[in-house]
Amino acid sequence: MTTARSTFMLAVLLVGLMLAGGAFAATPAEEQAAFQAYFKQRFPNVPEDEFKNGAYAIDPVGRENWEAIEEFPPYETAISKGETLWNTPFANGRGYADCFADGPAIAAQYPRWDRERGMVVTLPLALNDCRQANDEAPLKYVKGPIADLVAYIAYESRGQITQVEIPADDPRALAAYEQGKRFYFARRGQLNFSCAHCHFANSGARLRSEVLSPALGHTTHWPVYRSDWGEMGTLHRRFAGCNEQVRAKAFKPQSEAYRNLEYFLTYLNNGQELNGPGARK
Amino acid sequence: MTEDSIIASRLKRGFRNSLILGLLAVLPLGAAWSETPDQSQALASIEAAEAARQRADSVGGEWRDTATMIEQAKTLAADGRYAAAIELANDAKRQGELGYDQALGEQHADFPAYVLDRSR
Ligand code: HEC
Repeated sequence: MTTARSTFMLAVLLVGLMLAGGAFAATPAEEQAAFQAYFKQRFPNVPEDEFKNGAYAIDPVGRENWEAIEEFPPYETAISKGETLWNTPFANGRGYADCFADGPAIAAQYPRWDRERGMVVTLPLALNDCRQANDEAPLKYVKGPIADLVAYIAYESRGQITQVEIPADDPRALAAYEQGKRFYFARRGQLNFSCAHCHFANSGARLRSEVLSPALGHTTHWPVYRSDWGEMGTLHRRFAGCNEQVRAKAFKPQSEAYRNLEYFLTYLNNGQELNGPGARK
Repeated sequence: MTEDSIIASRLKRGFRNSLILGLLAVLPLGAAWSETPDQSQALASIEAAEAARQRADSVGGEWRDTATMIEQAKTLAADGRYAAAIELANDAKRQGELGYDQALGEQHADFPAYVLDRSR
């Protein structure tokens, strides 16, 4: 009798613990909703479709300057170089259009989970895959021709909506998202900061001469012409720069760590309109 | 014994004592002197720093400047500046250890409660 009762009590306790545990594990969809709600609440005066403009959505002085720059966009040469690249056949006579049937306006299809390869595929990676499938040497990932190509594709894709999917029937996709999430929130480097320290809790604050942009809007406008770089750069170039700011060693562009980070961050930005390429300080 | 001779003997003893104290004070210096780091010690420190760096890197926790510090320590050692090389290598080793611990401590990092509470 007492054994039966204590067994029952134990079962009740276990079920309770499981329920409590379940309540703590949020799904990606819940996390995305919480993320977007956080920034909308943090910046109640910023319209939803303004976050894609980064710091210029919240910094009026920086915005004046940026609007002047956008009148003669510094990324225009990159777009036209990219267009030429897109239309120039490979040595074997084929071209990018043969790899990307919907091209060139394909930016919103990336990053995406590739079920066959079991990995996140980003746009620059897919472009190099296409080259290699056609016996062309891969392009370097942070700047130069790859940035030009992506600039042209981004330009042709303007107005598309971010819509990253995490297929529910492939747990490896969720694992990639989770890995990107750990990366995002892990403190790193000698300064012991996570991405969130600057782009969540301190977004809107000033760091030296820059206003820290909110993470909502971070994935819409790549590649970017940065005055600081004096040239175009890819999203992974920016990731590397932000890692180094906290005195952590940067990862390789298109490394698994950065691809998963991009997957996580872009998923959180679902619903944001694409407006690349961009110009930034 | 007269008053004077007592004082004289105390002074003498005092002098002897301070001589001993003085020698004692100098001894550790002598010890340190004989331990002036040599090339093998510098290279061992550099090797230990490199091992710590690689360990941090294996968990994604390497810091930005560690590898550069190790390279600089190698240059110092090559110039015969062993003490400086060891100091720098030890700093690099410490960075490797801290970076490793940091990465392990952060492997379950997640959304801060101030964001996630909004979804409940
Ligand atoms: C020490 C503070 C700091 C940390 C930590 C940090 N960043 Fe940044 N980040 C900046 C600054 C400063 C800029 C340039 C101003 C701006 O747009 O916020 C920037 C810009 C960016 C941009 C470009 C925004 C735009 O509108 O073009 C992205 C994307 C970004 N960071 C992502 C990250 C990611 C991912 C991490 C973590 C790996 C991270 N940052 C960590 C300070 C930081």
